[in-house]
Amino acid sequence: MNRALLYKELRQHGIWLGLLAALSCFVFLVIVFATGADGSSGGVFFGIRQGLSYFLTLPIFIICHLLVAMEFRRRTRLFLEGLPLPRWRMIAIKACLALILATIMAGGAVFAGAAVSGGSEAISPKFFGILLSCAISWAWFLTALFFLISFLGRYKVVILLALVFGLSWINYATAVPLRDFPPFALLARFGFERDLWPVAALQGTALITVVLFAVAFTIGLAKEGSVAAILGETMSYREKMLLGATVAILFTTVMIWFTPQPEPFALPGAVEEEYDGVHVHLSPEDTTRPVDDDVVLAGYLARRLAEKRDWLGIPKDEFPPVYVVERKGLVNEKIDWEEVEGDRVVLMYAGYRDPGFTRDTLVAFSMSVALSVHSNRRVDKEHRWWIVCGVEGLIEMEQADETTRLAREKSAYDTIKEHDLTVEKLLGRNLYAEEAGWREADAVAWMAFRYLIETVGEEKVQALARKTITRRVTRQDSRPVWAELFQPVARVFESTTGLSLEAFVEGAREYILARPGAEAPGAETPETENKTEEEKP
Amino acid sequence: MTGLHRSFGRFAAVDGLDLSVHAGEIYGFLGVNGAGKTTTIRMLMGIIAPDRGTIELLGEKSKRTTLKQKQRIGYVSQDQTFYPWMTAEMLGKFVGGLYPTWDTAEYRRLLNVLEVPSNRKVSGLSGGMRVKLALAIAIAPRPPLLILDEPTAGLDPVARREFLEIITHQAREYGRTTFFSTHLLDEVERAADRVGIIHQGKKRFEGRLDELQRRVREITLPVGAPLPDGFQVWRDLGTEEADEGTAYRLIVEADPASWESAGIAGKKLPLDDIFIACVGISTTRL
Repeated sequence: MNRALLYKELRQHGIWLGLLAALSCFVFLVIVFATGADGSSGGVFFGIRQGLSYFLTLPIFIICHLLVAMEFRRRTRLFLEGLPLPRWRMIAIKACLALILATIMAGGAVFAGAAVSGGSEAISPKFFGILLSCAISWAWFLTALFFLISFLGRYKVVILLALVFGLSWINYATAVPLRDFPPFALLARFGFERDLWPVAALQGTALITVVLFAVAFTIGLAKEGSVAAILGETMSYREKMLLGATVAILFTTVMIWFTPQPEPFALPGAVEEEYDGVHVHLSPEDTTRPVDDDVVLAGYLARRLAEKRDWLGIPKDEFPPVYVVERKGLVNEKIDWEEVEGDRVVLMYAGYRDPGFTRDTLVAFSMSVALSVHSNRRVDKEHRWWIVCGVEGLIEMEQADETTRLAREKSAYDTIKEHDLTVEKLLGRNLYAEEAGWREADAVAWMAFRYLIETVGEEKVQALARKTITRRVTRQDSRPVWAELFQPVARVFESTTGLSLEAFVEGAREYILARPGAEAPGAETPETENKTEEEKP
Repeated sequence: MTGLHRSFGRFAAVDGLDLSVHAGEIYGFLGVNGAGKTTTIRMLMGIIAPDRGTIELLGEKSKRTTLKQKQRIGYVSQDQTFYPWMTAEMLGKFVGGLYPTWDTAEYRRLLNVLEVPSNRKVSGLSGGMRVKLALAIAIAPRPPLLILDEPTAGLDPVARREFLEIITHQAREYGRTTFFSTHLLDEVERAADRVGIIHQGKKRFEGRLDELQRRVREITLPVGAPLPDGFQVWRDLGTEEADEGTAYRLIVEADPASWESAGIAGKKLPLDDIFIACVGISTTRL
């Protein structure tokens, strides 16, 4: 009976199976000779390991597809059922044939590797045994896996893709050390381990192989073979569309939700100060100079930021660390900032050791960048950005001297005179800033906030800031989008302060126009610039 | 087989079926499409297991047909789904390895007699050729029992006639028990010694065809007149106006003795009328 079945399989697939086995052996030979000739490639067995990991999957997949999927896709199964032939034996013969071919390919690779490298390195029987057992166990695992997948008929490609993407994602995006687990552990030290049998990896792989074969047999035998037959049928157009859409959605979701965890951002050699959970790092350009002033500045920054963080109600553990890199070329209190891909940190560049540099400007700017990072740049949306600018202005001007304040008042006054202020201009803040100038628009926002505090009290302004610009948003979080749809800033503003935006803007205009301020002689306003965008964050 | 039952979900394809086939006879298993013939045969062949009931094949009783029993059965299925790339020769080599009693010489002789080219691929054979090939494969192990599942479906009248002649000859010549299913009355009339009629998974009749014709007749019964005991209405043909008034036309079934004792002659019916009445049986009793 076995002979008859083998005869049938070999007559049906013999040419293809033989070609695949021969091609695999040829590829492994090429790998062996190529890696044997190239001293920098890591050795013959490193090459074989790469071949086993990547190349061997293809011929084994095709072999299993030919032996299993082809049988259940065609109606020839009905012919076999009429014969005195147990189903399990039919499946077992196919499994044995696949295992034999896998053994030939993997074993052949190891034999070839040993033959080629035998002249240049000592290959003990134990080393050879370890290599052979690992290669064959791996090949058997692949056979069991693809044997099972072949039984999944029309879903096999989808499941295979899911498997490949899933494993790739685990490997690259998580900290799970796949190579430490069987069956991957078999190849982790392939060619390097000469003395210790990888017992745990061999046992684990054997167990997985048995389980995979058991599941394959269960599917093949379940409901008198009808499960495999149903799975083997071609997918309908509707099913293809549904499955395609599901895969696309899943894939997109995974790509968006589960991003690789990058290495934490670090500035080696930076001065670090911490105050109540706020970490500030200052990295001087010239490390040979004393850093006492940097320590003082970092401590001041940390303390002020902690104070304002609490005023805004941001939890301590959510506030991003602040990194300031000294850049002497940035003069006139100019500050650059940069977004660190995948990491929630505030990274700025400033000539902070310049004698004319105002540290409160750095505090205020740090807070505006921190709010942007904290909200995953949701607060950069124009409708709420003026609130950030207002808060930034309050921080910057809180301890400023009268001259600076008057100069800023004048800036706001001149801006209103020239460009006016409307609700549209307030909410479309970036356009307004482009029209009037960034620092000028900041001055208007600060003055508007002063007016607001004087009109409704600090508590309500604080409540407004907490409701609109302090929410932590992660990359995957879509809630702010809904919140902005159903709770627009204008409505939040009105419910929190009791003022309509129109009344507020009108009041702020009059407030600013009543305070013409005064030019600060020789005073120059700091500029800010984003490395990634034209405008501020 | 006794009390054989098989359901697919809530649908009972075969529902408590009792049939007995005597050694050496040709048994016609008759039923309309979907009556449960193929399910019954698939249970006989052990391809699917019955939910309930027992099968006694070649003197061995079991819940499900065993491999050894299967090796003593020649089987021709409804569709000939051979490997298209195989030739008749290759098929013989493959299938022969599964039967301990396979007779290669007999197989070659059968191919020759049936005029099936041995070196042509199955994909190049006509429907009739494939059925003949299936028959050669079924007969070559010299099985004591042949089970044929609507083997002539799809064949032209000439090929059908030829096929029936072959199985009749095989049965008579070698004393081979033959169980074949069909929905064609002329086939059973031509070949079967006995018939079993199945409808909606249940047995309606089992016996010789002439007995069936003796049991089932058409009568005309005045409205209000009682039907004698032991008579069962199989089909109500409606009413007709007679000299004595309105009367029912009925196809009724009773054993031959009852017909005699009731003194009713009844009108003898052709087999197709009986078959239609049988599978559309009315349970109305007058």
